[in-house]
Amino acid sequence: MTCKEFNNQLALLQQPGEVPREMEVHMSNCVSCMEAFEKTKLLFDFVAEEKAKKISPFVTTRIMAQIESAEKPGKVMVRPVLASVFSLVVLLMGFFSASLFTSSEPSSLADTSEVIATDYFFSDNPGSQLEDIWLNTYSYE
Amino acid sequence: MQTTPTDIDLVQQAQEGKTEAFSVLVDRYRQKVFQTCMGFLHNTDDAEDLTQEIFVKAWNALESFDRRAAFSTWLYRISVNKAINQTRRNKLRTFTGINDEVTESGYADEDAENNLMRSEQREQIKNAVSKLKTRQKKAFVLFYYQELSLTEVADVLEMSPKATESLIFRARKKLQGLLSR
Repeated sequence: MTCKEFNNQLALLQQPGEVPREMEVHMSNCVSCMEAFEKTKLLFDFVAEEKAKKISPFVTTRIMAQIESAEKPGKVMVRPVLASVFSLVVLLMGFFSASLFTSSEPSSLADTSEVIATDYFFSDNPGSQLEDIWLNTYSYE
Repeated sequence: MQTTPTDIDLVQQAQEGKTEAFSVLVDRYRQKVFQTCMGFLHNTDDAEDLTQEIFVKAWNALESFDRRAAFSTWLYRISVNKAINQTRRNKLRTFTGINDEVTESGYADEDAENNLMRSEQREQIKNAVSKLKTRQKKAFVLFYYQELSLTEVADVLEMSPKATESLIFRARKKLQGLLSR
């Protein structure tokens, strides 16, 4: 058996414990092939050691918790959308109410009230006018 | 007598939104997925975190699972792809110095020299495995860590069994070469 053949055979071995007689004979006469075999054994030991490690049984709980928390995106996502819409509505309302108070005729309403009040108090009989209003309002009801 | 539900039954229920069914699948495959992650990352904590990510990804992608392959094949395909991405990220982190890897040692009681030698050998093997080509690494991990058959590995990698066999052989030859240096 040549070294090349030995190396090919080594690469085909499923377990380094199952060494054919031919390979054993070659190894006993070839230091480099013996070394290659030892390294392969180390590789298998390394794999076996890593493979033997067990995952924490709590990982299922962690996975399911993550999945279930992500499962409610509908409910969670509605809130920021509603919050944005609500903020926009409040902003628009604020804008319009501000424009109401800062319109080009700001005191027109106040002036009208003032005129009515002045007319009322300086009229001849303010009390009777007030009574008329009340009586009429009441009768209309 | 209660029969054990098959993967197909559980997948169907999970696709209907039943998380309990998916939880059974997680219990069934978590160790296998974890072993795959160990084969790529060689670190228990990282492998556990990645296992978690893989199952969450599988849940999110469950709609796209069309049952052409077995659920396990589909899950292992996600696992190897995610693991490869993670190793790339880790390489980048190591390169930028973010990742200060702590080598695990379960041999604290042994003498220091023996421990050091063992640790060096482990590092050499890890380095050798990391130097395999992506497909070779995937095939190696699926075959040796998960102990899948050649046909199963071929299904996961979407290759013929013959090509898979050759891939594993080349991976082993390359490892032999790298370890003999």
